[in-house]
Amino acid sequence: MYGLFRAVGAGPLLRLGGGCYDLRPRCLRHYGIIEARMLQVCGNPFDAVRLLRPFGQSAVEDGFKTVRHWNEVEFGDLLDWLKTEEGRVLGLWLALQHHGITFDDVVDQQGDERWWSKEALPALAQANCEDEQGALVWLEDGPQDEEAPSIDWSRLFRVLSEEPFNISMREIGELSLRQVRTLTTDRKKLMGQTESQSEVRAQAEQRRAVPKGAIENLMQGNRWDG
Amino acid sequence: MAEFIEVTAGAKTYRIGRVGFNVRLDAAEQIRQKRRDEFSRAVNTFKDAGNEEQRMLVALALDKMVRGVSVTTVEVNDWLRSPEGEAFTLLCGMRKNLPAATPDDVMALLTDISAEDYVLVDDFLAKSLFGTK
Repeated sequence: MYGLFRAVGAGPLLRLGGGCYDLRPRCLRHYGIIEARMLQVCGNPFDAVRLLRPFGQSAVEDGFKTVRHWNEVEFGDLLDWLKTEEGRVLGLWLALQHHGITFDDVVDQQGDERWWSKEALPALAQANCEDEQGALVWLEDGPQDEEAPSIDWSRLFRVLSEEPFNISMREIGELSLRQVRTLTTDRKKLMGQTESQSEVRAQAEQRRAVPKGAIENLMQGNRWDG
Repeated sequence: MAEFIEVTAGAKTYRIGRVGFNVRLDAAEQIRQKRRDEFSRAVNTFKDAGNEEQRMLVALALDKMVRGVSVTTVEVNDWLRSPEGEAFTLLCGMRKNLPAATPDDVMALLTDISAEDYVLVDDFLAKSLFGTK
């Protein structure tokens, strides 16, 4: 039965403001929206660095070192953001927006903490049903830091837009992390098969290759197999 | 639950509206603004006679400001329970009726309000914090 509710278009339901709505699972595009929102509230810290001028050139350079990665949001930061007030409201709105519900509607119809913990968050978890940590395993070859997991988004997009998937960027944006994990696992299998096929092909080529010394034998008028 | 509560303090009647969940989002922005202010204050305090240690404090304030994008639910709750947070909630409530209300109006109300009315207002705002669900 696992995943059937999604296959038949019947996601988990949530009561909100007198209505009852199904929740859409989170896709990669939603993480992009969340990241954009985080950067929006962050503002431009380079303006702050300009304030360091009275402290001298070295202080300004140190300031630039501090803020130069300000627009690189770690996946761990995204997950942290989703646990904040703003993040969970945004996450809920992303799951409900296909009903034409605005962000302000979600804010206006908030329930108390009990509603969040008993209804909203379980329904969201059920809708997403993705093992985010698991999705990271393949994406990062190195050892995983559980405190601050990260996804190399550019690498992910590169992998999915190339052979054997050839998925367009728009389609990639609609994938969930679970689907990404499935695809990338499939890719590993496919790549494994390709490698073994090429090994077989190489062995066949080797078998068909002219045996060493055969040319000399021919030139000397000897038989091929002689 | 009523949309407004009226209290009289210092011969003046104040009408305070339901604040709703939005005040929690505004509170998060207020906390972020405080981090920005901390950095600006550190710069203004030390810019004339900044030694190595003071420069480090400025650098720390910058680091805190840049990293402090996420404001946790716990931080929001703590701030809303602080005197500053209570005054902010009250201001949001007053602006539901009078959009031009200022922090001075809040201070005037808090100065003259009786203990009984204060409890009533506090209870009203606490109940209205989570909206209409």
